[in-house]
Amino acid sequence: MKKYFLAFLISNIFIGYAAVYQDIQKPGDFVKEIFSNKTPVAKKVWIKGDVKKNIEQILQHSFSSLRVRYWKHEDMTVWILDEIGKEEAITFGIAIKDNYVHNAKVLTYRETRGFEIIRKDFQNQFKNAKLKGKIQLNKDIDGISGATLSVKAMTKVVLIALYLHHITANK
Amino acid sequence: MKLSSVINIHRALGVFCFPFMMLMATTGILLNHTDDLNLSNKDITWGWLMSWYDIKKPEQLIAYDNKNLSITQIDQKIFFNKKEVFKKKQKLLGTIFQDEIHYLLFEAEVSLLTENGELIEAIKMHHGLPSSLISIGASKDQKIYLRSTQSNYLCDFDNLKFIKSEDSDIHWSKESKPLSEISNQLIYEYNGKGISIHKLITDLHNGFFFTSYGKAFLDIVGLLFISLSCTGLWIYFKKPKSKPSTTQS
Repeated sequence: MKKYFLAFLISNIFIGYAAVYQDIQKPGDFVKEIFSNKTPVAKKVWIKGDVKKNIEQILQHSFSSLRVRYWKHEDMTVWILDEIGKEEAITFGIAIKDNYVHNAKVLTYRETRGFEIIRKDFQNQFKNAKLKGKIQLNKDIDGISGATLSVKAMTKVVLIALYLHHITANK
Repeated sequence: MKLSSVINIHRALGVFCFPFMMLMATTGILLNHTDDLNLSNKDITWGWLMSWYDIKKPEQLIAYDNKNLSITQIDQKIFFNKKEVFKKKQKLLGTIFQDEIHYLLFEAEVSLLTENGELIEAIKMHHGLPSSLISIGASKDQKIYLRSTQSNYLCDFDNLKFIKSEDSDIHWSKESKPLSEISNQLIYEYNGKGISIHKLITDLHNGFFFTSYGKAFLDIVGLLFISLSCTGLWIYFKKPKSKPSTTQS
């Protein structure tokens, strides 16, 4: 029994250590993967006026950048966005196709807790989600105990990507 | 207990407690007159005292001049003159001002800011920014260049194009000496005002100046003060009163 407890303790220490910084995929590689190695030229969208207001309504805090870059080919856009989970910024890669989430992935995880959001089965929940109104998804995302803030951060970023895809649809 | 032993203990306690009694009494009187002496608003910034309280000078203070604007990095904070504009963990490697935009080169990104210090965007590696960058500069014809450990790049930040270049007539951004009035003011704001005399006296009075050990030590000293009073009373009541000598004439 003592052995199992010790093994559990040691494994937790290593999991905790590994969770401090996880570079899961380089943002550039994520963009390449979505566009099958043919990365289009990055476009930019200005974040001001109502756009800024709506984004800040989703985030529930101010948005610091005045413009955001994105990659677009036909009806697919890709967004690389950062959002703070608890203390550190998490980098997400979000691909939107025709107003539905095509892929949502954590690219760099810097928090010490809540790393469970890098699990594929969690991230797959976002697939095919779309906007319901301005600040809601059309489907419920199951939370993860101990990773509430990271789950919230990912949900917010997916909402922003869907919103920005919507407003850049005709650009 | 023999009276002579109690007298010896009382004497020893008196000698031991003397400096602490003086400290407690003096600091106590000063604390009683904190408002009269305005001790809360008087600050001390002695070096040894600041380090004793673990108030350190910032480890990193980097400054660049950008068109009459001093851009300073103090640890993770970036200032435009005295105004804090944003935070960045990476080291500031250079700055350029071009077409009303400040370009700030960090170790792995270039941040574009307005004249007021609003972040326009951060250009990172996944936007195509070359790696191992060490400097940012501009040519006479107002083109922006980046220098990496391998080569120079002509930059078009609007279209995210970074083309290797052999151009050599480039004025590279150089670190400047922080303006003393700005850096002093920034460090002052960064570190706070120092230690107020009131705090120092309170900490000396209750022993916190010497951390939690000081508090425990002064608890013991307090008990010794009580013992000193008790032995004093003991001696007073037990010592046979010497009869006044009567001289018969």
